[in-house]
Amino acid sequence: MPIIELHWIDYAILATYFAFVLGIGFQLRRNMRSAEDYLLSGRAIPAWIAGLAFLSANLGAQEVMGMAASGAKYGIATSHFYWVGAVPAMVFVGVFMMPFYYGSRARSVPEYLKLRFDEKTRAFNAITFALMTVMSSGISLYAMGLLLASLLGWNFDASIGLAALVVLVYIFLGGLTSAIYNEVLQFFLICAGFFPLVLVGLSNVGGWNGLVTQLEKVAVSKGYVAGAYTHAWTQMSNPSANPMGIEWFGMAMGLGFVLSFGYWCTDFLVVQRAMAADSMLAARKTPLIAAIPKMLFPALVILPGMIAIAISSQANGVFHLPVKPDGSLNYDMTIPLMLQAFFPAGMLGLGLTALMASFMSGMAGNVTAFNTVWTYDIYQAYLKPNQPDAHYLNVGRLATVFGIAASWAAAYAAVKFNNIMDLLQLVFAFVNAPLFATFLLGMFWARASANGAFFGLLSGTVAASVHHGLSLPMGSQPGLKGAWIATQAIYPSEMAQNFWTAIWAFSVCFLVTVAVSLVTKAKAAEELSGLVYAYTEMPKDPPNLAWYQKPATLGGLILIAVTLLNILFW
Amino acid sequence: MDLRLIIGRLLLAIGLLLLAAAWLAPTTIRTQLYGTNLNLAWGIVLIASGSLFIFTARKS
Repeated sequence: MPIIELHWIDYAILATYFAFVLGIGFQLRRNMRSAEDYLLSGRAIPAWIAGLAFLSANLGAQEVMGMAASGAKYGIATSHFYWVGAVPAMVFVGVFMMPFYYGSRARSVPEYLKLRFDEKTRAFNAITFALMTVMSSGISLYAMGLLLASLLGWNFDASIGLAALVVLVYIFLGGLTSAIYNEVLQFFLICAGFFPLVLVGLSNVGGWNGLVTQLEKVAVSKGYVAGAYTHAWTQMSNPSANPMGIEWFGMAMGLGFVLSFGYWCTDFLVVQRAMAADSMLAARKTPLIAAIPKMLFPALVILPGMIAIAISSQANGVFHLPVKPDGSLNYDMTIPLMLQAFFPAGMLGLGLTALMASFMSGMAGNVTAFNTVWTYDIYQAYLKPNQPDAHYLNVGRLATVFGIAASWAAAYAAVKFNNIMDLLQLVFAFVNAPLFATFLLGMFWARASANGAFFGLLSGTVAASVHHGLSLPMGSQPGLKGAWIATQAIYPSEMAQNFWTAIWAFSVCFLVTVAVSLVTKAKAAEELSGLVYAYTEMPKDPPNLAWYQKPATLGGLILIAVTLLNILFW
Repeated sequence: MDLRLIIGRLLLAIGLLLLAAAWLAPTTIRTQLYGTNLNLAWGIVLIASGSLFIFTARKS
């Protein structure tokens, strides 16, 4: 891929963005007086800001570059991440789970587990979550380094170092509030940068109809039926009939239920944004507000990938996706190639800024979740309890520095994958999938015991490891991608392997939790008030609240809208 | 600190820079979308959006 020369106007746009980002950090520095201000935003964030931050914390480089890569690799079936996975899960967490998270006054998801179960379950979750955030943050860094190296010819190591430094400065100064404010800013920049890219790309392939025609040729050339890249459900009856290599059950259960609900309902990275809201109603509305733009995001992040594969397949296409040394297409280059091909000076600066913004929001989300869990759930809980608040404020700041440094190291592991979304889903399958079973039983089944939760969670994670160690995506070598015990199963794609890893992890965790709970002692009813559905009074909406602001009504409308989208692209 | 004001100012600043790019950057086939200069068109959109955010923040 030829290196592009940026015009000074592109640098000016980038510099303007950096000035705003760092300015927010410096402005908020004076408000950081306690650990709660720094790590929890003082629980004072309005619903619309928390909602957009809830969305943006997930809108990292892996979302933008990874989803575009998946759009190119798997076609419109990638939208299942949104229309089957994320949106229903966001409605569920807003309507049903937020009353427990917010109402329990826990400062983090692991702390909720401590209140509901016991210390060992909290410790297990805190440690696995801390590892996962560092890994996710590393993926964001990798994506950024890859982008800057390939697009601008900058040194990979220096690029990720510089980008990490900017994130470090604004989180170090302004904590969670700075991260949340910047995430909202980044949300608007991402929309501003990618919407015109989609318009120009679509115009290049002859509009939507031209895209469909071209993708039908791509599908047939790869041995699928014509609609395999442009229909979300029609080719889901058989794994070999669609590029994702998964059938409807694996899709609905693995992605739709386990992975998506596991991520959106239990991952502290996103839940933290809702827990920072200024009231119970705002906390419940946070994921619902996020779900509205979320259902439209396939047009911004998946469509570019579909456009790229359509263009790349043409002999006289404006660009062609590069091939990796192992012979596979480098799908991660989808967005950088499109920016280079379609944007003139000025717009290129904006597109690049949007990518930088996505990288930063993803990384900042992970780092702020990491520093909170480290400070409250590991350091304060086990290493140095009963210290003055100022001490924990300093520990939070040091954890920010450590989280960034560890992410830097993790960035190098991501180099081995040709689609960073695959790697991310693998990490989620190990951590979030079993955790969702624990939460589902913990919040809605009072009989679930502390020992049941701990051994269930442990067994689920072990089951994910064993499944990964025995299975391999087609065309891969045993090692980081699986089959490190033995090759017992071959999946058509990494994504199919990830979905089934998640299904195994969830199912084993669920069954072991139920089995162990039935033979061990559960907590008494009075200890479960505010933590379990049966012993918690669900919050009532204020009497003068407009109908469209009521969480249940809003959730219902969102589900109807997302069902219509599924039907439209069936 | 009103976040709407910050968003508005950022969009306004980038919109103005895109207008500058429309004047300064070399005109090629890549600068056109449906016959319109992309920098100019998108610059105007961002300036309008930014102004709306600032107006909303000032009004409340």
